[in-house]
Amino acid sequence: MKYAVIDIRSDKVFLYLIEAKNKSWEFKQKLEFKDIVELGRLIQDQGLKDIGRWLVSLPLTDLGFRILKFPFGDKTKISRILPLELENILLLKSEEIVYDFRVQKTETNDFEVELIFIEKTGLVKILQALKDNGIILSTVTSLDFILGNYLGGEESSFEERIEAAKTACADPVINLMSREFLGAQIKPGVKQKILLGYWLTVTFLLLTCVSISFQIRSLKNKNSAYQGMVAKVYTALFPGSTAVSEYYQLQAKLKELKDKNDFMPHAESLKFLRFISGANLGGLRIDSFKLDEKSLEVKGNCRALSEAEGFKNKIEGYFEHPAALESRKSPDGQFLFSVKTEYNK
Amino acid sequence: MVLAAASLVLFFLAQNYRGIGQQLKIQAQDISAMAKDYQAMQEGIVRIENSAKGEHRGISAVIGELFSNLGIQSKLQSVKNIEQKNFLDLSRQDAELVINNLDMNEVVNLLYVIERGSYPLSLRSVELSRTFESPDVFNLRLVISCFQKK
Repeated sequence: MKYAVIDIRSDKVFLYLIEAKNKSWEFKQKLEFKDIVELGRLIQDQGLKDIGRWLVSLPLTDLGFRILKFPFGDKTKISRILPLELENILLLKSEEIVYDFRVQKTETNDFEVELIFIEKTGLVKILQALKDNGIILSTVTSLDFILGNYLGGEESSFEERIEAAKTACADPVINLMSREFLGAQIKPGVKQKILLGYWLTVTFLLLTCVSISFQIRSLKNKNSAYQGMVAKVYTALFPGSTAVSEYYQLQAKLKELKDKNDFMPHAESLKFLRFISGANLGGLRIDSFKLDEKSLEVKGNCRALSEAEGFKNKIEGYFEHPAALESRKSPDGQFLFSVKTEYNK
Repeated sequence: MVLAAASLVLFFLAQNYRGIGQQLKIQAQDISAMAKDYQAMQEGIVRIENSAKGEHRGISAVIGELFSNLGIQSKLQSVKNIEQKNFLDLSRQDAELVINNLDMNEVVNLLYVIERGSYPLSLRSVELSRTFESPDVFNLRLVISCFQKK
């Protein structure tokens, strides 16, 4: 990825093009401009669209710089205290300034906070000027601060500034580009797209809510219909009685009845006799049968095995359960058969 | 955010209703079969419970009265008590009966009275066989239960 570092100096503006390659930073080009407007012209002419990130370095003369001492080095704690300290030092409200800081431990085990700040209005002007020239920034830092030129001493060399620019690309040390300004940097076209996305999402969510509400209504109606069906069967079975849950109430009553029924086993012999008298047995004769609440065994004789097969099929149809047929030929040429089945009627 | 949360809540609500609906659908399908089972079982149980409410009589007395009323007392060969059991407020006495030389009419009458009559009896098993002497005469071996309210 290519980085462009705009180094704003008191009299000129420099542009350093740096490329990140395999975790190393390679300096590519240095361009010199009279001011930001000239830089903007170049950008408009040449495009420079392959730049991944834009950084700007402000001279320390445009920034405020203070060193404060703290007995602790916790950045979160310091962040909480700093606005109050700044208001005391600068006589400005903390909302009116943008600042960032670096914490360093001293030899006396104290912590030095190197604070960089700028008035918000000043930063907005710089950002707007860059934006007007098509530059959308990600970082606002200071190469002077990185190089340690706090007091505006000797001018640093070109090589030193390139090295500082590389450092800023990797880690800007301080960054005055707060979230608030990042939002303001968004291009109008992108803003429209974000707005469109926002309204599309809102519309989609609204439609989803409406659709689900209708689904819920329909499901409620369906469920009421099912509940009505269950209640109707229950009321028909127990007229005049009501239950919180008819289904589970009937299940409980059925279980109770089943337990009683198990205590009162009964073989349905009359039903079986009615079946026998109604079945067309042809030449088949039943000699005996044994019936209890779970099984049936019928013994008899017939002239042809097919008659016994037919009888077995009838038994299976009646009890809705498979039956076993055993047969053997008797000395008088007839077939003796036995049909057995187990059922749970 | 509010809309997203609302649609999420509505989605889970709909899922909940769908789950309940599936349960109710199954219940609506099951309950008819359950009601049928209930009615089928209840019929026999109510008959026995009602007839078991009367004065306390032993199984021998009930069998004696039943066979005497049907006029087949002489055909009752043996009565053997098997076991006694209790369940809730009911006691059950089982007995094995051997009855010989019945015609088909007598067989049907006897089984009808045991299964559907006003005696506190239920038929546990029946074994019917033709006699060797005549194909229209039958021997019966029954296991019956006699119930009594405690």
